[in-house]
Parts: sequence; structure tokens; C-alpha cells
Amino acid sequence: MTPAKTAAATAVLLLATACSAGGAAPPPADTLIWATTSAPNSLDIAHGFNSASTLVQAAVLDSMVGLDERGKPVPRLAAGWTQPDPASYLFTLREDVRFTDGSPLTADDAAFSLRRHLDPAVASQAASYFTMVKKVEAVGAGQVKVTLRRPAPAFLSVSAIAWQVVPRKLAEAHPKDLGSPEVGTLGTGPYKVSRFSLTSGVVLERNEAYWGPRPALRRIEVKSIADPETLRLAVRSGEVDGTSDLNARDARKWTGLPGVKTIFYPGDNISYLSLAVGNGPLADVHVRRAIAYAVNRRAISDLMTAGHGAPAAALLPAPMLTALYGSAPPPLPDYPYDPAKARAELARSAHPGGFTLAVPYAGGGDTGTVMQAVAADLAKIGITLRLEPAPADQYQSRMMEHDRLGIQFVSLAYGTPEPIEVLPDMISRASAQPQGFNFSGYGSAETDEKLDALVSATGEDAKAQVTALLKEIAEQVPYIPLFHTDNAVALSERFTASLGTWTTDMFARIRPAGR
Amino acid sequence: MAVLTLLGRRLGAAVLLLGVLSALTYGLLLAAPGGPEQVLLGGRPSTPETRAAIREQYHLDDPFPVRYARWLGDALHGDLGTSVYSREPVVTVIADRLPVTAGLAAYALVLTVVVGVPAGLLAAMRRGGRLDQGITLGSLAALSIPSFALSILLLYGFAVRLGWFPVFGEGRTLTERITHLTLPAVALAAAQAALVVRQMRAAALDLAASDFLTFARARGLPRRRVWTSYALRNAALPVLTVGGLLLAANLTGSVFVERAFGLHGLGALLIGAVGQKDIPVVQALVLLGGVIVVAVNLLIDLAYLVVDPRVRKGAAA
Repeated sequence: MTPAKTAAATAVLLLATACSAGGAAPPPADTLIWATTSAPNSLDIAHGFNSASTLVQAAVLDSMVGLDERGKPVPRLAAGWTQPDPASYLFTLREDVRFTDGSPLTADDAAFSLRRHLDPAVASQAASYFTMVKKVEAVGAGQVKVTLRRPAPAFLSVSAIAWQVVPRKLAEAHPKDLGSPEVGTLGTGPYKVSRFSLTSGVVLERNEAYWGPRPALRRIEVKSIADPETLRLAVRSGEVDGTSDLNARDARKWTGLPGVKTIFYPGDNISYLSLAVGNGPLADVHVRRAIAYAVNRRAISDLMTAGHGAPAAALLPAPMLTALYGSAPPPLPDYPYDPAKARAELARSAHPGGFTLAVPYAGGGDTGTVMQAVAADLAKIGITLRLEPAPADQYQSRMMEHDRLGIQFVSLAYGTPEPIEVLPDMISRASAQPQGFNFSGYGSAETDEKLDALVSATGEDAKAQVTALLKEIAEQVPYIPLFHTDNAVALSERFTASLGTWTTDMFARIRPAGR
Repeated sequence: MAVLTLLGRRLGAAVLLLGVLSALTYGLLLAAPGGPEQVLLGGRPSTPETRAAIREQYHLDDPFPVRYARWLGDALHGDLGTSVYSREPVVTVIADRLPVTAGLAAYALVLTVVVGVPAGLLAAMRRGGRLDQGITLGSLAALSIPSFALSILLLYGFAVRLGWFPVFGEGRTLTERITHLTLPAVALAAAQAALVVRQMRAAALDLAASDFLTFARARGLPRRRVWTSYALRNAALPVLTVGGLLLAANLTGSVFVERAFGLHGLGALLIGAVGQKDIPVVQALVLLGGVIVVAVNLLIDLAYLVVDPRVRKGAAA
């Protein structure tokens, strides 16, 4: 053979080898291949409090309490609890629970697993959840006593999200890198980790000795695919069985995929505009009300959710409003889309003829789309937004530094049905500091007092206090609620799932179809 | 002896280059808005105590020279630090991803050379003919398609429609790895092969008019012999240069292709790390990139010596 022919033959051979491996045997029915857009970075919620990481954490680690389908705290690792006084809880641990290495779960493990979030040396991402906790101690056999600084009914709900129980010995040895790919983690949950890497993904195997209901899936592989289009093609080709990282806005790209079903359910999230009340034209409440009237929320909601969401009436996620008020939310000052009223409000302000405002935004992605729609709406009443695109990282960094705040589009997702998880973020003066989420800068000693009172409030009292705060926000307009988005899941028809807003253990809710 | 002098000079230049590179990167990262707090706090509400603890742990309040000196001291002791994002040692983070990127870069280079060199030679041999026009037009098209667009086209055609190749990931065994990297390598190599075609064609055309080729032809040597033994060898210098630079570029900058094919390589890591202000990872990657460019250039120069006796003689003199 001549060199050219040899080369050609080699190339053909190489391609043939390459192609032949393409059609691998289908995986067993009880193996699920799941994909996320970003890889889980830590199996410890202290350092991986993000959707991809908590998805895996919830499969491997048990929390002390869980949330039922209405968002109410229910026993999990704790068989039950009592409240000796309004500011303390006495949890009784389930008996005979073992970590997947065979060692028994003790009250000391459970207590330490909460206490570590309070330790500044751990720098836990869940620390802000547990600021109300004063003391955690193991008492007697199998009991944990938590003393709060003062009554805080939301404590149980946040515990359902973040009080994951790990062995004290392991957590103590690794304050900074528990849950990293090198250290890993150890739990009592329905699955155990058989591999964890940031590149090749996570492999979970069923914990055959699990104390709770036996999970239907034997093996779960979690892969990460950063590009949304590649993710869609991977689900379409059947290489991936499911993902929860699809954008509701792109739902129509997913709903038609052969062999794939899409599942939508209300998400615990809120998207809104923040108006920095500190200086410039936005300091004038009439300007802010004018903007609220001028922004077509229905149109933006349709644009951003493609029907899988709804315009937001108040500055709380829809499921929180439902959990608090049922189907009868209280009437709040409203600003239905009305350019004429918007112009009238603007005429009453110090800027009757309108004004120009420079608005930095993250180029690409949702922020750009929303800000362009908002700019078009505001142009109709004489407010010119000079849109200044910036790289997403830079925009995000500046926003968190509270640098150049003006009109920002913000989307936040939460975990519990408790309004106290949201409101201090929005209007407390502490959150108006850099790295806080109060981008409007709204707040006073008075609002701080109201928020403070809300922490300990229960029942009708809590309801009335939340209503008062929502009313104040609606009147003063530091924020304009825009829309709620549904959570979306794409799942191969080989599986079925029962998912809801308060589902934390998603993998335990998925099973092979027909079983 | 000439080779040793060359090596010595290059080593000195490399150390200087890497020093400047690391200081510059560190300074630019610090000058950019934001810090690693975003990643450390997970983009979540935080307490003032946590924020203070993080600032202290990561020495965020120290001035630039102090922070850079601390990093440099550790780096000189072989400790490149720990990734802020994954809390793994930086060396592990990079070692996890290097094989993917190196495999992709090598595979793409092989495709580039195997396709580009013969096609360029062919075009030059048949200058002005149909084949030449076809090859030139083809290379123009390949140069014009952005790699991410080509990636999606390849994915849709060969992975989804035909199902010959997997859509994403890098595979675990060697055969799996080859299967997984084929489409990305094609996507990466397309534009580069086009570049090599043009380079090769131009170099070969320059030679076509040279006396020694005319003489070779006059001696009645077969055309194949004339082109492979005489023209190819002489045209090899510029092509070697381009090939080496392409290899260096692939090792550090195949980010679009990596992203489109869901590959966890160095390009994707660098972009992520810059966004997260994961300084230890960025620093290590920049140094690695510097080392690769220096090493590849050195290899090219050494290859010159092997390929071209004129350079060898020149170096000796």
C-alpha cells in the first residue's frame, strides 16, 4: 500500500471504531441518567447551597424534618418534636438509623450538623437561615435540644432545607472541604455516593439499608451539560433521561420532543424590578408609581414564561401567598398597565417631562430581554432608559457590591413557604449593605422593627403583619413584582414522577414507568 | 552546543514571561469588579459574620502586593492552592480536565494535518484547475463557519439524526473517548485545516517556480516524488509554525467547542474560574498556558533543525 492509501485506510478504521461504539446497549430500567446545567460543586450544603448540589445532597443526606406537599414541616430523621417553650424545640431521633458506612446515627451527630452552620470558621452558605439559633445540644439518648434567641416559627421550615445530618467526626475533620470531590460525604439517606467528580459527574447507588420507603431507582447518574441546546439534544437522543434545568420560556422547544414529557408545577420564586430609592429621579415615589403603571406586566410575564407562569400581584412567590392566605389573598394597592395613569403620576413628580437613566444590565439571558421590554414600555411615558450591556459576571458582581444601582431586574428562588425567608432580603437595612439583596435600598428603623416582630409572629397575627408589609411595599413601590415562573422538568417517558413545589428529594419521587 | 544555548536562552525567557504573566493576571483579576465572595456565599443571603470570616480566611482585605507575594511564595514551593469553587487542590482540578483537552487538541491536530497538508499540496499541484478551486472554496467555507455553529450542526446531524456519535460527555474508556471526541475534534479542526490548506498551498506555490523543482522535473522524476520529497519538505517550515501555534491554541482555547459538546476541559474551566474570581485556578491555568506556548515554540524550533539542514547549518555557525 502506498502511504496515502495506508493513511486513508487508517482513517476509515478509526471512524468505524468511533461509530460502532455510538449505539451502546440501553441502560437498565431502574437506572436514571439526569443532567444539570452546572455540576454539583459540593455535597455539603454549607458550601453547595445551589440547585444542582442540593439535588444530590437531598438524595444522600437526610434532614431532621421534611416538608409535606403543602409545605408543612413533618418528621424525617426526627421521629417527632415538642416545644418546651415557644423558643425551644426538643427533637427525638428516629431509632436504629445508620450512616451508609454502618456507623449508628447519634444525637451528637445531629446536633453538631446544625451547630456547624453557626461557626464563622465554616463560613456556611446556610448561616443566614439559622441566625435565630442560640444553642444546639444533644440531651439524653437520642434527643436534640435547640434553643432559639426568641420564638421563630420559620425555624422548622428552614431546617427541612438545610439541617442535613452528617457524622460529627467527618464534619469536624473537614470544616472547609466536607462534601468536596476529595472528601465526599456520608449520610443516612436513600442513596449513597459511589462516585463524585466535577467533570465526570455523580453516581448514586440505592442505600439498601435505608430506614424509609425503598426508593424505586437503583442507580442515578448526574451529568452536567452547560449548553442549553446541547442539553436538549442529549435528552432528545435519549442519552439523558431527565433534567430540571429547562427554562419555562423555552418550554415549546421541549414539549414536542418524542419520548419525552414535560412536567410543570408552581415554583417558589419571584421576578421583579428593583428601583433604587436612594437618589436620582427614582427617589420620587410618583416616578416609581408611574413606572409601575407603565410596565406591562402581563406582556412581560407572557414573554418570559410562555404561559408557564403568571404575573405577580405581590412581592412574594405565589406558593408562599397560597400557603399563607389560601385562595383569598388580601387586596393590595395595584398598578394595572395604564400608560395614561402612568403619565398622570409622572406629571405629579419632580420630573413631569420624563428623564434619562443609565441602566446597566447583563447582556444575554433573561435580564437583557426583560430590560428591553421595560425600556420600550417606559419610552411611551417619556422615561428613556439608556441600556448599557455588561458581561453577566461583571454585572452580577457590581450589583452585589451595590454599585450603580438603578433599575434592576431580579429573579429569586426560595425553599420554604415562610415569607420571613423573603421580606428581610427585600426591605431590611442590613440587606441594603453590599452582598445583601435589598437592591432598592428601601428600609428604615421602623421597617426593621416590623420585620423583627414578624419573626416571632404566628397565625392570624403573622398574616396581618405580612399583609401590612406587602401593602407598604405596594404603596411605596421600591419594587415592582413582575411574574412567577413554573418549575419545569423534562423526563423520559420511561419514568414517572410526582413532583410539587416543596419537593426536596426529587430522585426519591421518580420511578420507572409502569411500576 | 547550539541546541543547549538555545534551550538555556529559552528557559530564561520562559521564567521571565511566566513571572510577568502571573503578576499581570493576578492584578487584572483584582482590578475587575467583585471578588470570590459571590462563589463562597453561593449567591445567597449571608450574615455579616460569614462575610467577615470569608474576608479574613481569603485575605481579601490585604493589598495587592501582599496577596500576590503570598500566592507566589506558595507557588514557588509547589503549592498552587485550592479552588475556591470546588475546594479541591488546583492540581487535581487541572489534572481532571487536562486529558480531555489534550485528547481533543491532539485529535484535532491530527485531523488538521491529515486533511490540510495533502489537500493544500493537491491544490498547489493542480493550480487553477477544478480541484484547486474546489479545495480553495471548501477551505473558505470551513474558515467562515464559527466553531459553535458547526458544533450544533454536527450534533444535530451525526448525533441526533443519525445517532452515530454521542451528544455530550467525554467517555471513560479509550474507545469511548475516541467516539466522544470525534465530533468535537472535527468541529475544532475544520477552520484550522482550512488555514493549513491555504498555508500549504501558498508555500508549495512559492516553491513550484523554484529552480530545484524545475531541475527535479527535468531529471524526469515522477511527480509524486517531486512533490512529496522536494516540495513537501521545503514547504514544511511555515506549516510547522502554524501547526504548533494551533496546538497551543487548542490546548488553551477550545472553549466554544467544549461547551457545545458538554466536555469538561480546560477552556470551560478557565471561563468559569475567571467569572468566579477563582484566582488560584486562573493563575495555574495561565501559567500552564504560558508553559505550553513556550514549550510548543521550542519544539517547533527544534523541529526546524531536524527538517531543514539550512537552519541546522545556520545554528552551528
